[in-house]
Amino acid sequence: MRPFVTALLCAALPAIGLVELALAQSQKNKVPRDDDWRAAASYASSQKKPGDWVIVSPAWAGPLGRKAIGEVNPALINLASVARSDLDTVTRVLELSIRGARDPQTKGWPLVEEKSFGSVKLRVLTNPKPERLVRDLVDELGPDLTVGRQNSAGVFEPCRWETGGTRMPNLFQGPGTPLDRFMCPPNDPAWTFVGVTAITDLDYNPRRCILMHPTEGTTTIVKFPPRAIGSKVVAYVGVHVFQERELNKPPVHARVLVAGKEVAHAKHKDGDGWLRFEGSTAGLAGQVHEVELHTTVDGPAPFRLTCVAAQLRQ
Amino acid sequence: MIKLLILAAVTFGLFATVGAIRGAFRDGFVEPLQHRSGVRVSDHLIGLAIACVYTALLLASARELGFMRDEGMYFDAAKSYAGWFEKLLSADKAVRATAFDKNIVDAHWAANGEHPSLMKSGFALSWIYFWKTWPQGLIELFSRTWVLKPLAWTVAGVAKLAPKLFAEESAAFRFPGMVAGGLILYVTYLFAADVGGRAAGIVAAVLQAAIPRAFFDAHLAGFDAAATLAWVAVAYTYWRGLRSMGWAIGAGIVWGLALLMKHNSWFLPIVFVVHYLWLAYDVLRARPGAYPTLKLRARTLPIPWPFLFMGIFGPAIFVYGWPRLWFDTWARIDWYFTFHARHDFYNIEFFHKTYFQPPFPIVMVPFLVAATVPLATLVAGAIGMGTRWRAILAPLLPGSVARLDDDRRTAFFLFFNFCLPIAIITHPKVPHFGGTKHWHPAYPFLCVFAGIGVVLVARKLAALTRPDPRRWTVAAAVAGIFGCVAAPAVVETKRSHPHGLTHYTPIVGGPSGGADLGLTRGFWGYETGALVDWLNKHLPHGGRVYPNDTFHSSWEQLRLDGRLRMDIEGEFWNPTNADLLVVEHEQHMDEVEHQIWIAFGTVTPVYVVTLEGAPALTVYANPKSTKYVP
Repeated sequence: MRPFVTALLCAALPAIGLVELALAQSQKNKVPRDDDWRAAASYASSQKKPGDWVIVSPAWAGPLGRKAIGEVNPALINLASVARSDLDTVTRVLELSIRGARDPQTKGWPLVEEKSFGSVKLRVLTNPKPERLVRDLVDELGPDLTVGRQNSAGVFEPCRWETGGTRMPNLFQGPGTPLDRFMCPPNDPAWTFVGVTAITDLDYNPRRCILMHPTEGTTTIVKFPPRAIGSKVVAYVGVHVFQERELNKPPVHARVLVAGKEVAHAKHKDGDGWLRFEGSTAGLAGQVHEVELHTTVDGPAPFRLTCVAAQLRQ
Repeated sequence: MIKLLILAAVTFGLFATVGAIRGAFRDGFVEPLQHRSGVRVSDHLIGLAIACVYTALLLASARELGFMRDEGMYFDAAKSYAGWFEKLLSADKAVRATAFDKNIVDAHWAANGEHPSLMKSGFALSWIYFWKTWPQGLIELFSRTWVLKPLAWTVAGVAKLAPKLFAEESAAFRFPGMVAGGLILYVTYLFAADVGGRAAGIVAAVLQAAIPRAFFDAHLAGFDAAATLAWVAVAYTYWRGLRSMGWAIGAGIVWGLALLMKHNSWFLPIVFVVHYLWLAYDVLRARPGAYPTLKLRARTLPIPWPFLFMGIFGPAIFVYGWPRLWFDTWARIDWYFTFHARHDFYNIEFFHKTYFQPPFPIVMVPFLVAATVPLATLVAGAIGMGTRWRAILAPLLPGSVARLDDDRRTAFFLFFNFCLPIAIITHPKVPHFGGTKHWHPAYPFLCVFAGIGVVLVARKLAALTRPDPRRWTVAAAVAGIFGCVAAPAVVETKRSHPHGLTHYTPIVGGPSGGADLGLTRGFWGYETGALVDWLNKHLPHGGRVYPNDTFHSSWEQLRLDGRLRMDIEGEFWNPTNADLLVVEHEQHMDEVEHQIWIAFGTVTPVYVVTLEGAPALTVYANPKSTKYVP
């Protein structure tokens, strides 16, 4: 082998070491500082208009972004935005981003503005085709609703409204018990409530929704009082991850009824994750009707921690 | 203890220097010692000096590292075993006799019966004699018979120099594991010096020391550094035992001790049987340059004495060294093997998916090797292997191509020892958990090859100056290349501490790159150790903390060590009562974070522990807390 080639080959090893060292240093230098996060959050706070949502990308950086937002203006962020199902009804988002990450839910959204704060970028993105939110049924859950269980004989057993005593069940138990909820028989605060919580879906994403646990032979029903109807229903159904991940339990069904008629239905099988389903209500748009959410399960399956989020959109 | 270790290292270094002056290193630094006069006493002293320095380094950096779940369990088990040792070593003969009573043995040794005794006995004895009763306990023990009196005087003398050995109780429990971590370097040095020269030995030992995950594990009161030590030590003694009866006996004893460290050691005979069959085939086959007849070739085959002594000593040491097996022996051995054959599958995250059960992706283990071992170390190791490929694969190659490296087929032996720990865990149905630790026994062999690779490249470079390069040219080349290869490893290891399990190497983007890729960012609750100063500050009048995955005894040890104030209590069962709530960023723990949002009505944490931008642990405050001071 020629000396030059030998020298080149031999130099490769120390060169790799030096490149690795330089790469490590470069990566360290690019780590965002707390001040970068705070500056980006401050700017987001100054730019936020009503209806804008503030989000953080990538998802794993969420705690850092949310901490900075909490220090600057906690009102910028809430459970609805952090544990969202989608961004279809949001017109504009302010995205705190590191490492060039971009939330997949804003794919195709035009970038209006981008400003760097050290290693943190604040991106302003607008939704090219926002849908108009008519009603978010998750927001409407409250004591004025009728909630209960209906058995196969058609007997409706109401659940009672109660307040107080949140519960954090810990690992492999299910979602947190909200402060306000309906309590249904057999009245176990861990899993027989109907209330707004955040489940952890199959991909470990948080999802804000109404926990509506179905049991064998019964339908869990939430009846919303007559209000305006949009042209379509967009809903999601999922099962808490520790109940779904083994992929061996019977499917659950979620239905949306408007004026007593089913307009959307999903059969959620283990493995489906956070499942979107839709139905048209174009014929009822602009009218005022009662809306119902139903959940059922196929076969014997206790602890099917089923959660539903539904919106009426125009 | 740190002072004593440094003193010991200096002493070993001085004696090695004296040896050098007297010609111990006349074989030079770049020639494999197995082809010369073999490793000398001075080499052992160098290895021990490296081990002492590393152990001191581990001890000095241990206070920053919290306690893994298993460590808490081993602290508990060690305290239980300590009760038995206190009986066994009691000054009262009647009390000593009770130590052999079945009820007493069972009462003390039932705890954590799924793991053998040696390391936990080490934790227990270290706790008794180096922490609880130092130095009086040892002085009293050694003073009982005149033969041991000099030891008592020595202890008394050492105690004057070091009236307190450890800064905190946990260090006493962890010390035997750290010693195991140090001894890995000692054996690695010896092995590499034997097969690649002293320079290769030093390179190999330093590169092994500077593998971030191995550095992390070497701090712990656990079995993983010990399992690595067991593997490499048995391999070395077996390899030496193929030429020496003394080492063959040593192999049997060391394997017995290895069996008392962790069940991994039961796999070692497979390595040796495969190696010996490979060796036998290669020695016995007809090849150019070999003896013409099978009978003559058979005479060159090393006699496998180590197998004999491993068979004699191994099982005996295993049974007699583990008091739990003194009674109902077969039933308990059966239970032990059954436990590990049916071990639970714990979870591990890989590319954003948490695996709770098999099958695991076959690429998981090789990928994690590449993502956690510094690249330059891997490349140096690959060069070392590459230059010996004709020796490694000799029996598969035509005789004219194969290279005969030595009568023990060392290149293949090293290569097989590198591959097997990785291959075993790579199998999709073998439980994958605990990060990378289960294949750490492969790394000393990788580093031996890396040492060989560094020296080879240095010699090639030096040879460019002149065909027969001067010694100082070679030395300078070795030093320069070693510096370039070791620098990233040392820097990464330093930066990874105390968040070793969040660390990934620069080729995957560092810790944040690991998070981008959806790789495990930590597990088993040790991260709360990185939080204690913050908790002490923000709970000035005490309070309750939900510590997520931190085990009760691990949390308690933070308080016993004085890292965490005693008025800061763990809230394990009813997190809604806590003032502060901790989430460790292991994917399946995300559901706990989501529960916190609901239970406390906030999504904004108050503190995030990171390693180079990657969150390892997040803290939320209970909005109703009267104890938390922002």
